[in-house]
Amino acid sequence: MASNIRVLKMMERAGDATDIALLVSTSSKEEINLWDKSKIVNSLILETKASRELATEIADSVEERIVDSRLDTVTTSIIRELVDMELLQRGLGTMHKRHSHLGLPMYDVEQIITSANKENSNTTHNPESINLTLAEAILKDFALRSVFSEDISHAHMVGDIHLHDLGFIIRPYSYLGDTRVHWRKKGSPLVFTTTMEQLYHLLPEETRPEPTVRVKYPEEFEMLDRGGTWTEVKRVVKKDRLGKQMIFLASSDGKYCVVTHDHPVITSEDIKPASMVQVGEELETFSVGAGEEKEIEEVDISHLIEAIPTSFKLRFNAEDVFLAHQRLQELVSQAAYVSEEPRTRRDRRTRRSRPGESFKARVVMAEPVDVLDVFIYDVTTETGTLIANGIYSHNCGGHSLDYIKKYGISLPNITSTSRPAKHPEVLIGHMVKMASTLQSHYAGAIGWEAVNMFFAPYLVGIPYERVKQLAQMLIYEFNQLAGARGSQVVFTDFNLYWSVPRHFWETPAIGPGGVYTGKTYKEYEKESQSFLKALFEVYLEGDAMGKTFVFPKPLLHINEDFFKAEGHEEFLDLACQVASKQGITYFVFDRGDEITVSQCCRLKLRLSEKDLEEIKTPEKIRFTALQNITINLPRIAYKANGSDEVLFNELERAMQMVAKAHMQKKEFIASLLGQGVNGPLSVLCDAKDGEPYLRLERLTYLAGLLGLNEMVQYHTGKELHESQEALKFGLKVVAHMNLTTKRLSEKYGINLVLEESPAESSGYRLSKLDMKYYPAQAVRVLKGDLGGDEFYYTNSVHLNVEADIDYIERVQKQSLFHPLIEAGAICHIWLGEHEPDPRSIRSFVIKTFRNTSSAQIAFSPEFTVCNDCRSTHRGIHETCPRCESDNVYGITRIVGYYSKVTTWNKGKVGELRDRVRTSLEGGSDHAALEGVREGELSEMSSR
Amino acid sequence: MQHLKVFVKENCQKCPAAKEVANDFPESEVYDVGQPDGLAEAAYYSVLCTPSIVVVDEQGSEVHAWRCSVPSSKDIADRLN
Repeated sequence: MASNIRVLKMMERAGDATDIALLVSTSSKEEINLWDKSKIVNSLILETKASRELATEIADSVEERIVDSRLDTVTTSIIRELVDMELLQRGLGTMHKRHSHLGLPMYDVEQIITSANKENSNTTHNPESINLTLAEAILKDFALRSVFSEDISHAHMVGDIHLHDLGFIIRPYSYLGDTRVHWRKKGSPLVFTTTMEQLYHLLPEETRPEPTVRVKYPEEFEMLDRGGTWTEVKRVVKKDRLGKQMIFLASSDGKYCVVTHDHPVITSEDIKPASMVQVGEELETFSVGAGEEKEIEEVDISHLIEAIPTSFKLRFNAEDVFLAHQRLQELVSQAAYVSEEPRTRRDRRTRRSRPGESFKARVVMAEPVDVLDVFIYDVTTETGTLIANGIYSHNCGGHSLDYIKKYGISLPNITSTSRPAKHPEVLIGHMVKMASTLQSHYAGAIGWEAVNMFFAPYLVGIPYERVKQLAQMLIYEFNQLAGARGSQVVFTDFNLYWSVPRHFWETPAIGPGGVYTGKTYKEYEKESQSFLKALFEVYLEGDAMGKTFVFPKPLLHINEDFFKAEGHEEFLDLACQVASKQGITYFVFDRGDEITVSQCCRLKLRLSEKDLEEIKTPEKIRFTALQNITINLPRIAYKANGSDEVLFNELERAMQMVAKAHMQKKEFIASLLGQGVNGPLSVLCDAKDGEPYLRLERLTYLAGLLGLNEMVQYHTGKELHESQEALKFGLKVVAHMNLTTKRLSEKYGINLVLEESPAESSGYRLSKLDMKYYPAQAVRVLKGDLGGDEFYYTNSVHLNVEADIDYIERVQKQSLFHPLIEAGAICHIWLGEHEPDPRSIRSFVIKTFRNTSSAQIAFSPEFTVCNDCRSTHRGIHETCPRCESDNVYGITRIVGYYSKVTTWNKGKVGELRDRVRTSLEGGSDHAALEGVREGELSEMSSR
Repeated sequence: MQHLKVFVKENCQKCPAAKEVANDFPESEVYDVGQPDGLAEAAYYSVLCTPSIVVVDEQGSEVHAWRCSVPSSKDIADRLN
């Protein structure tokens, strides 16, 4: 009887994304199948790992309900829901989670199609953005159910924390110690063979750039490389394995090694992560032997050096050590056996490598292996390669224009390959294409380091009019680059410098055709300055309607060298003129020895020791923050209800959750990267310079702050600007968070740092959730119009936007927090309709640099643009001041970028209404900033 | 009455010297910037390195500061009212 029921099916086949996608897009391909209960059984076994007995029992029950319902046609979604119901009724929550359906109600899809999504105000409403919103909705759900644990997802759902960019969840390693390497003092005929662990301990002077990474820099030290040549060793790294899967690789000539799953291995066809290496592929191997042909003498001292005991070994009992050792020996024996297969033996007889000679060997084993060692080792050499256990391999290890200058455009997602650009126009084209590709792989902004400096070698001998034309082309290309992800303009930042940054003075410059010019970047300072001036002249003019450009954001770095460089006064005048008229200049302050790269609304990453090593090869420079997670600070104050002890305990708990969530996302991204160049993140696995584009162990992890002002207000009764005690309490909260990030970084082996979350949409979301769960408390501190839903929390650690204080006091007080917020902070000065004298801006910028700890400031005017008479006016007006048309829209800075006010969410509209604007009048001498602090500004020695 | 705020941290080579100088002035307050209270106080006075010594008045306003350096007892005495 049951077999008469027909099933409307969307031909969904597990594991075949292509078929599913094809059918979703072509509804006419629906088909009707006859009822087949076994499909439920098979689906439960496949998706939930249920036993056949249990799956059959559930399928029987579902069949019975369908029969009872007297339906003659059911859809597969109804069947799935009935199965889910059955799982829930049986208390099988985990199975239900695995089996559940991700999708959207019809009503929601209609809303997404017909109404604009205001989550990001730089997204317009169009078919591409609808696709993006639909995809994001599914991926958010997937992330909360599958990537993050239940406690983290719950904390996000109820608003304790906010996991940013959940809709972009898909976007954003080394050797075992006993691996044998051959090395010598430079020029010596004696070649020593030791393990990596022994080598590391033989070298002097360890540094610890990160909690889990130890580095030694040997001098006059060489390692054996391809074909028996010698290559200089630049550094040897020892780092915590942090649970990474290790892979055992064995070759047909009896060599083997154990490497991390993502370690780049060179096969005859490709460079790929070890986890992707297949049995049968060819590796290049090498034998040192007596090495007579190379006139070298090998001295194996590995047995003479006692391995230095490491504390980790004490954590395992003898049996564990024995079993792990036994397993490794088994693998080695198996490898020896398979490499001695008759077929291989014949190969070896005829082609076995002679001492000092390279040889192509087949992979005979490639499989995951458990090891007990908690440390892994890595060597960086001049050539980027070395011989380890006889197998030739690559070393395992912000966006730089030098990457595309050197390599051209050759990306896994683009069929055609371009050689390095020979002409500046082509270079701009390459930049734009790279930015589009990067945008489809990253959730956030794409920042470019020292754009004017890296561009300079292409501008030699070019007249200024053409330089300006190129500047115009560069700005327009990026400003209008909206054809990429979801039809959203690529959020781009240009880091710009008037004087060539000191750390690039000795860096060899790459010029047209990807060729080193023989000069350093310092020698191109004239061209670099000329291009910077041209860029700012274009920014000053604005677009065809005189409107300010939105992207690329010019981040002008101000440091001591800026004021020493010839022509800086004239240029600073121009930058301040742009700030006054168009508002787009961002003044980024680099003090002391600090070297930073900025991106996004305020993300500013300090270059680590490792990053600075790459200064001489800037094509390697790339920085990424994996994820931002914002903590809802007012919520913590509500929970504490006046108790300091509870407040700091809750803060600690929230920070722990942030670190845990980061580790979960890291694990997810690592699993995708583990699929290598054939996986979904192929572009990020591309290893043109020997390292994957995304270097997982070099990422920054962000902990964002929201609503410090309201937290302090609820807890102490005063807002940050209202009393010294309130300000000091706010500093104590952020100091506590700063120290906690350091502790958690050490614990998890990551670089966790605080950031002022831009919180464009999350600020509104969290305030709405507090109105839902803590209404009695929230109404006491929320800002904006509570009746009209236009309420908000004050951004990050900022002072109340409508506080009755002048802009100098605002900058002074907010800047006190900046040294504690290492990943970036900004002070906004809202200009409204005012267009202050550029000299006032100049004076204020210099004094802010010299006399405060401010990391960055920006001046934000407001504009009205008329669609009818195509004019642009200062201030936000209901009608056009020229033609009185009401077909107008307003533009101003929402968080760290300009956008149309009509695209803002309600919370931000409420904030805009409250912002206190200034003309900078009366502040031109900025006396209040004088003498705020004396003495040298230098980096906190604790960092 | 004016007094000293002395900012130090663990494993800071010159910090013991700063604490020793501060011992000559009984009203001195010593802050460890490795602790939340100390770090918050350091941020309030824009102290970005250790050791640092700040002279403050009755209201807690900065009168003079030696940032990233250790003054002599005489230098401090000259600045204190």
